[in-house]
Amino acid sequence: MKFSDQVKIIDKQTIQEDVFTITFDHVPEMGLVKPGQFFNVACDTTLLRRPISVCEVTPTSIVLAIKVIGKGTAFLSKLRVGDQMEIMGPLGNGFDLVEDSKVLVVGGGIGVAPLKALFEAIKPKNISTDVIIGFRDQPYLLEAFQSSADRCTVVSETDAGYLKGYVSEPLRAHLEETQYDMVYVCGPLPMLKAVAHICNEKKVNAQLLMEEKMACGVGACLVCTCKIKEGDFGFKHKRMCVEGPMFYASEVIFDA
Amino acid sequence: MHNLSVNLNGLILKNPITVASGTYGFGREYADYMDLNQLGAISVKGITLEPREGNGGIRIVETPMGMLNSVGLQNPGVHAFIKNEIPFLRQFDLKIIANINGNTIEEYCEMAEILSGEDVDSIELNISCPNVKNGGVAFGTDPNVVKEVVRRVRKSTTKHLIVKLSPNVTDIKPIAKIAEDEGADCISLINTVSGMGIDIHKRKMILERGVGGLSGPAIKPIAIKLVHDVYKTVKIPILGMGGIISGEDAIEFMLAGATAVAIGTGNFTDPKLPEKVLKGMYQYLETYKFENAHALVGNI
Repeated sequence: MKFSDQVKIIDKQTIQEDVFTITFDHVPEMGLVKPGQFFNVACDTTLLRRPISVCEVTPTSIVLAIKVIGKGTAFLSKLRVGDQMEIMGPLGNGFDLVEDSKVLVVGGGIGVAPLKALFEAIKPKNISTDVIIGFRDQPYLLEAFQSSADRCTVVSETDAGYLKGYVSEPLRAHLEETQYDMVYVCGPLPMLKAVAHICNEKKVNAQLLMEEKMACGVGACLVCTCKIKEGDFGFKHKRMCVEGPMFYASEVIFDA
Repeated sequence: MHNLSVNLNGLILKNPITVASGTYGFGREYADYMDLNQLGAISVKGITLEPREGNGGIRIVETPMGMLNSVGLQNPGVHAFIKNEIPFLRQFDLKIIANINGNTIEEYCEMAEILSGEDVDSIELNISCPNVKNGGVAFGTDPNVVKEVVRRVRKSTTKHLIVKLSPNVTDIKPIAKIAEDEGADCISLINTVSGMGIDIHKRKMILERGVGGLSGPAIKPIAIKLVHDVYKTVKIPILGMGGIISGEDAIEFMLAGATAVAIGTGNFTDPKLPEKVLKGMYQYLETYKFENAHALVGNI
């Protein structure tokens, strides 16, 4: 049996007005938890659970970083240390972790949360790890990247004292300068699409951590599918919760 | 110990708790979270003659206590079902209900013929899916087509036959009667309620086909009413469903006239829900001193 039960919240931190972290015990029944995997979290205010990626994984604890988007995440934001939270997981395939490589990590908004878990797992094992992260406004969850990335570029859409613009501009520049073996990406859909396009054009391997509204989280309901190339012209609808949420940029077909 | 076994006109379930087609895949998806031996039956994901990729675009809209879906019968096809899924499900003590769908009456018949020679316990004729262009709800809402499709599928198979009805009709009673008269062994209802959602910022339909199927607790009172309507109309047993998320909900369906119940969207809320509903049912029987689950059926 896989883990589906209540966990006790052992820490909660407010990161920004609408961004917070929740920490719970990493119990043995959860098994190995990979960066890019997620837990499906029950919310009292909604019928369906909310899929939340892991932001930090240690042998003893797991941290989720959550941005308040709607009713479900608003409910989670009101939970306190000591409260119980009903979760199932870990779910999904997670990132394929590379070693001895030159790696670039590209994130946007709350998409930096799973990249933090990824970064901590791959940083010690690779030749170099560069980071580009973008935010609409004020950045968050920067510390780990800034303190140990070989190069960390932060952009913001507003005048927040960082490079102004989108991640796509520094991405192009980085790809011109460095031959990366792998690019890891997570962020809003338009960003994923833009980054996938650039990486495919430059023929650089990229893993995209995709996002879609989900229901069951275990591959039964088929509401979270995305189009994945099959053969030269065909496609298959694959489930983000099982075959994903990580897909390679070269295999994803983005609808217009 | 109470006797929970129920008889759906020849299909005997060890308990009245089943899972609804389209919400439980082929069982394997939930096998890591639920002991499938606790289920009376599974109605598998709707299958078609050929594999289907289903609908494009957004497939789900969450609503207050419900959800709209537009999956469109994505499935691996009947042959892959026979080869890969029946042997898996046979490891468990539960009845297998094959939910079949077709573009034409001929396709429904062909599916029924193919499955007649296979190890399934029942065939559920899905003439109520709102998310496909052909067949589905277009068949199930026209009494003449219901008559024709049930009659011809009945002739195509000797298997136990369930006809799954749509709530999207003015009066469900004559349609249920036709299904009974044409040889259905059991009626299952309700399929999802047709619904629509609009993205007010893009000023576009959220779902690519516009329409989707509403499920979840939001539709439970509709389902209870229709189960009761059908109960008063036909003599064959009813497999009732629509928004069950607790043992109490399941009891309510049985009191309305269902002999067994199916859990659908509730599985998404809680993967252990079927065993919780079963436990709730035991407690109810205990509290009110019923000796068997059958005693609840239509008991109002």
